[in-house]
Amino acid sequence: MFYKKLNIKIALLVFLIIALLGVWLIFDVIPIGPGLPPSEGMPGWYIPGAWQGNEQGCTSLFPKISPYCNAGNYSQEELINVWYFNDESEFLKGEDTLYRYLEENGNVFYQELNVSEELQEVIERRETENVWGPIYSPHSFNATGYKSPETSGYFLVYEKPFLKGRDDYFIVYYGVRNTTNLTKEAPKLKKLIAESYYMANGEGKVDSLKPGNKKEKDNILFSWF
Amino acid sequence: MIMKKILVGVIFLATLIAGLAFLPAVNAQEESSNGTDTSNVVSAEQAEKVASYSIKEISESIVNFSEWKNATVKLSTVYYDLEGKKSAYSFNVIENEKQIGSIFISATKDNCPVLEFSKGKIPNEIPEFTTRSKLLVEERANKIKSESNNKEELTIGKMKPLYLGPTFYYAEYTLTDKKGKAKEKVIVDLPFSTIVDFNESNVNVPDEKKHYFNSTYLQHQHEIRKQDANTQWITLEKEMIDPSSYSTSSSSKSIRGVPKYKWYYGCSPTASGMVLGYWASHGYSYLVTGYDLVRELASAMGTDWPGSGATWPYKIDDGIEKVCNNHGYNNFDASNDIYVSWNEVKAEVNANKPFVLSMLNGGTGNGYTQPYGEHSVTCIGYYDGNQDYVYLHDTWDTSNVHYLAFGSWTGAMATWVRP
Repeated sequence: MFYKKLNIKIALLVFLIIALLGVWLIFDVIPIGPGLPPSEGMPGWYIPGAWQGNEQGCTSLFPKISPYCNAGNYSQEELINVWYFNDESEFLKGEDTLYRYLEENGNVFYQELNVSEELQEVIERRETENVWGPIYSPHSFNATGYKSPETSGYFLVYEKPFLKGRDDYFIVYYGVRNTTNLTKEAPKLKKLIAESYYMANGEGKVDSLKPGNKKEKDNILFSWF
Repeated sequence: MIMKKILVGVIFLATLIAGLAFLPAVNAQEESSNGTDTSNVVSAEQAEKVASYSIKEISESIVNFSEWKNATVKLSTVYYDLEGKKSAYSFNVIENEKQIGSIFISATKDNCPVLEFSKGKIPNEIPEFTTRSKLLVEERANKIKSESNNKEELTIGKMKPLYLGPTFYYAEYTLTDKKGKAKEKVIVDLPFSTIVDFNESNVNVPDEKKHYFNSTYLQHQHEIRKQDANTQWITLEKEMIDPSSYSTSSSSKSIRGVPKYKWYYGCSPTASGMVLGYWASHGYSYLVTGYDLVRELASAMGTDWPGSGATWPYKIDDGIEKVCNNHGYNNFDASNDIYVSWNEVKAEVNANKPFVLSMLNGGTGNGYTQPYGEHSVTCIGYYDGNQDYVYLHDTWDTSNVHYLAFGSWTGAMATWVRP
């Protein structure tokens, strides 16, 4: 009887020690981070107001090129649509598919966008709200313009905005529905781009959409040097 | 012999404790498969009373929900689990005839009363979700037809809403043949518009971690959650009968002036940056802020950058102290606490000292559909009520404070930062 009681006490003591040591060990063997949302949550990174509920399913205006796709609406007409890729080959495939679709269904062109003023406004406003975000990418960049009767706007590609070692690619569309008059809509869209661009990270590259063959050509040219 | 028994016991217990680190945030199927006591069933009327009461409590206690003060609730959807038992009721929160949010109440007292709430729409009321789910089921029915020998047309049954835990919303459709015989049950993940197969895999656990699971451990966890939920229902029902008890039983507090930093270099340096950024504007002005601070912290705590962005938890406190020392403040005491209790959280917030909270298998913050996982955040407040919440600046969203149920993680470490 005495030994039985003693055994229970020993077992309890051992349990307590292991429980304490176990938790301690866990924090010694599992690193914390990077602490970024899972792929499903990534599109929201570039959708202003996503976390306030302004995040909806992917728009049907374009082909489904990624399973991780969501949109945000900013008025009856203005929208942002984000496709996220966690794999470079999937991204290149998706980018090419999208580019070909755009060429077939509307007018595609390149345009340099300068959002310095709009971005400065956002930075100043957010500073008054005690918010800091890393903006070290250029404030002027190439975008892909698109005009079609259903929607017109700009496409931007954000490559590896978080960590060099991680495959994170975003294709983001900033557009207006039911118009081809992009010149008229450009000021509004630049403001929208600045809001979203503020949410981008300091690392990586911001560029226009490129079709697959253009990338191949770029790579061939690069190999000469 | 005794030693041998103890040794076996030690190995068994070690397995259980190690399993703590790898329990997924939600395992809805386990919940339902353990059955629900019918005496614990909550009716729609009871749930409506709880929803009405809870939105008032939320409006008075949680940041950004004050507009729910005079709102009413209206039943939207009755949800079921995989066994066909009622699992939850969703209510629209209505103010001036306009939908301003939603709240989910458990349909069983074996789960905590308020399952989730947000300012967003109920997934089953978002036409895009429901339309896409129907299209997917139609595709599936056509596929079965084309693969069958007799090319028999299948009838798609009415959608049955499934709720398998916070943010796990599904739609179940039964495909029947001409004789009315059920051929297949198709379950669609509503927000992600994909057909899921719960027989194939119901838990997203990496292979190398699977050996940590055992039925005893899961059963034990289930019992703990059930008891905790039962207690929460008893407390809530008492409060609803005697509302005067509410004011004394719940409280909340937020620390003002904690900056919101967007993720950079890694979550641990960013979350620590917000804590030191707070102190930089509260009498410690030699501390740098923003980019310089986060970069310096990442370097001091050895964050793997530009690699994985991960930080060893035990280096977080040392890194913070090192940065403070670099700027001439030797009086800062940063310490990791891996046994963080609710009382400690409240005491720290009441003393206006924000802190870093590093979670393993962190749960889902309000407004999100994805869990935090292994993530460091800055804790800036708390809500102490039927369900306890911590208020967070989470490095993902710089516009809002997010809140998370205290304990919705497998493990958590607080890094107290005290000048």
